[in-house]
Amino acid sequence: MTLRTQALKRAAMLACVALAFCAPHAASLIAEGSGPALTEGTSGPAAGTPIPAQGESAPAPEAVAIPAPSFLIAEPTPNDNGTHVTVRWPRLPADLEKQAAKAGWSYVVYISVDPSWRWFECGMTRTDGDLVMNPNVSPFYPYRFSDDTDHYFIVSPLNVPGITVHWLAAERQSLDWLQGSQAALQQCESLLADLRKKIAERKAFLDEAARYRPRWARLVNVDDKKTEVVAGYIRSSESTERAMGEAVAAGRDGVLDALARYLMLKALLRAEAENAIQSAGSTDLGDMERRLRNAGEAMPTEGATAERCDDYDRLNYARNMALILKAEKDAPAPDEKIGEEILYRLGDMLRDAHFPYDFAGAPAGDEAKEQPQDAAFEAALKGWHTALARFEREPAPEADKQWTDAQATLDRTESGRQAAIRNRLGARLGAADSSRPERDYVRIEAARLAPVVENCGKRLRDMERDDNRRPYCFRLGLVTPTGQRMKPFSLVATAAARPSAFDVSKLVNFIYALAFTAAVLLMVLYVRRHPDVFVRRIAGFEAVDEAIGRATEMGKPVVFVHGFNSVGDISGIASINILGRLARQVAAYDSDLLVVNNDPLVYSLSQEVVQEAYIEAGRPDAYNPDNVFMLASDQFPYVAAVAGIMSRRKPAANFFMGYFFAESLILAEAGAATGAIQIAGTDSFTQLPFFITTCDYTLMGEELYAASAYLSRNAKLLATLKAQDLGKTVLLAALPAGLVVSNMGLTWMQVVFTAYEKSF
Amino acid sequence: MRFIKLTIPLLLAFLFGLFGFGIQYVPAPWASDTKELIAHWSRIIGGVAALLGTYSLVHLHRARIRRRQEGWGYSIFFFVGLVLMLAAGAYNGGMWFLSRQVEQSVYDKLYDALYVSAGATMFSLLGFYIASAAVRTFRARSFEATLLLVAALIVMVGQVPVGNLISGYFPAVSNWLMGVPNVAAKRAIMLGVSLGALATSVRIIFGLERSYLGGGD
Repeated sequence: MTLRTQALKRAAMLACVALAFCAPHAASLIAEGSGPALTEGTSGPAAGTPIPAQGESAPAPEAVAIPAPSFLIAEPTPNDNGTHVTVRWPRLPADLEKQAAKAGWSYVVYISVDPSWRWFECGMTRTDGDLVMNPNVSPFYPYRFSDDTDHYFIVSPLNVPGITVHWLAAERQSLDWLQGSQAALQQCESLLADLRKKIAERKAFLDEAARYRPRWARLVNVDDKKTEVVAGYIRSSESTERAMGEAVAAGRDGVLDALARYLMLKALLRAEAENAIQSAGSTDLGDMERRLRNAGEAMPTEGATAERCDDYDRLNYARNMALILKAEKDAPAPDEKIGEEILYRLGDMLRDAHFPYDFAGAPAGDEAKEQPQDAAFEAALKGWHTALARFEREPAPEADKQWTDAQATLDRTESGRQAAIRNRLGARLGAADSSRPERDYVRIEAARLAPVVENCGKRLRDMERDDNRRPYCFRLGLVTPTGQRMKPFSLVATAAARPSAFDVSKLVNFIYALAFTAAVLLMVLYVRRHPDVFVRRIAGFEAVDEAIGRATEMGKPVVFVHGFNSVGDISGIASINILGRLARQVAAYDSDLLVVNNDPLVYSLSQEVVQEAYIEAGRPDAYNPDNVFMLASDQFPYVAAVAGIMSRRKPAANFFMGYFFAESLILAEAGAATGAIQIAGTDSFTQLPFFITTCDYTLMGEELYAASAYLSRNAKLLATLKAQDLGKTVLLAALPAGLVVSNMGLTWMQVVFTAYEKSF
Repeated sequence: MRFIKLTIPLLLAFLFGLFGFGIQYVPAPWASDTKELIAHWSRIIGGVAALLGTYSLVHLHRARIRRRQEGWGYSIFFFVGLVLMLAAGAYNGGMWFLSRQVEQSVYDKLYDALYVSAGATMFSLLGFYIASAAVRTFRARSFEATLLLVAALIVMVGQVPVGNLISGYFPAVSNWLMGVPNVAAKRAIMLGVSLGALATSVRIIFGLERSYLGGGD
């Protein structure tokens, strides 16, 4: 890619040219009429004009007089995170709806960023319910004439690929590239000025130093041994010198980044412009103007089709691109190449900054010539545009494949090209003085372009966010059974996506959560007055004393095995609660407790809990921190280590508490082989059968959570178990009631128990 | 001291618990951003805790070797593995550890050839354990155990092609057993688990449950 230099003046002029041609483009669309006069505002009455039954150039579809909608409402989608807009319009009368569905008519929704701008087709549905997925259509729920649901669908501004591939988008994107490249150029200049200032400061510093330390100024003339001596001599100034050098290097990095951005944007713009001109079928500006005028005159025609609008846009875009290229060509005295000039100037400055002695000049010319990678990139970009244009015209599998292939080629060549740019920059600045030791010259890092890419990503995210905040305009149109777009209805609705403060679709969930919380707290209050709480006997808990007593008698340890859960999981917290109770009893019985862990956070917490339990039991001296340890954080190493401990230590009792996966059976079998009493507790219902098979007692599901309350016999905690029972009673009553009510054809109970339903 | 060890943690649990509950109902981007931020914090804390875990491992195996406990020789392999993997990870195929991980480096080869294979070996033990557990479970010593045995046999025969050859009823009954009684039991357990999890959360948020802080009630 050959890079042409231009002064700031010229850059500003180009921007003016581009802006001057883009703005009238928008205005011309209004003036020449890409559709009927638009009504701004959220909604309004129908224009009173029934939609013509067929388009101007369309073959005659079945004549179905579909009236204009009496309203069109666009509003932020409720319960949304600010990325969707909902558009609604009234249903057709039932008989007409059936008639239209049978004939194959469809609605189409147009979207625009501004009513005076071009309208884009953002969604169309057919009567067979299949969403038409062409590049201009965003994915959303289909509207069907025969559908029983309300007439609405949702448009996601984030998911409107049509805008990004359409000519309008191309124009905006090209303008972005142009402005971006100019901004990058300005940034280059500004950074160069800054760099120049820093280098001047450095020179002044060197000169000043040379007045007082003459040997330093003659640094280059000393040999290695003397260098050391001289370096010692100037040590007091070393840090200042280094700081200055770093400032210069930082300035250099900024220039390189801006330059790389400039190179990329410029290449994109040029390829885009040439492609647009080629697609217009003419390189003659006069011819293009003539054709554009003719297309514009044809626009106000009643029933103008979207294809015709596209033709107009395409021509207009090509004309603008041609003007930009012409302005570049006609610019006064483009005798210097921007990239080369900046590179040379940058090279000179860096040379001055880093090599204050005789410098072998950089090899000229070769690197600045057009590189094969640039040509390949341009060709790939052109191919991509061609393939995309073909796919837009005729969305077919071959065209889709061609487009995908072109995308892959583009990606490949672009990465090659970026590597070439990096190499070129490096060669220009570094290889010029390859005879010198490496420490003497500046190295261009291979990852130098990475910040550019990162910034692009951030910019894209910002753009997406802005896109979501801006208001969008919507219109409704009709598509004939043959696929022709009719002139859209005149109603325009405007709305911007807005995040909701509360997700009403989760209201039922919220109410149940609050009700259950209230039940728990009320039960706690109740238990304060009536402390005798009956809780059914759970065999697993009753056996805890027996297991610990057995361990004490046998003089063997108790092993507590944590499941694969972190402290963030409820089952992890429940198992830590159980551990605390268990440790207190083990301490009271003066037995050994080994706690094996697989999660560092659970390990830290377990240590604390066990230590506190021993202190509370009045036996802090019996606590051995080495008995609570981390084994492995992966599943099977953990299993191997636990099984090894069990087979070596032959524990009298094993407790498996928490959420387990495939390791449950291996652990429990290894424990059973040692003859230990085994008590397991898990809320993983897939592993319950294995524990039931292999362990003496198993706490199933909710019993794991109840363990802490059961073991402590604390009335407040037992009260929460009562609340759980209350919840289960409600569910038990609701199940048969729901069965009966549903069979009676009533749906209210389903609604009441549908905890969460997103409306889209 | 009580204020630091009890009041502040309980207050934090209350505030973060309510906040975590509340933002589930806020679809605005700030809520998801905050959730992401909290998740980042958790990861950072987890990273620091990983150092503690490593220290615990080193301490455990060092003590075993020093005390010549039973099987202390295996602990030597722990140190060999630790040093080897650390060195291979740090070397990173010659790019050293500040660069992105190099594909197919010595680290990857050690991981794939040793670690993954050893893990697969442990996993394969599961097959034998399932067989031994099945033998123990399917002893028809009671009515329930007999019922389980019959159901298991039907499901097993129904799941293999030969079951269909014996009788078309086997797959049908097997599917019914898996789809109706089995799912009903699973759902009952899940309902109980959900209520239990909710109750545990309420206990922790409102400070009723304190044993996770260590100490008594």
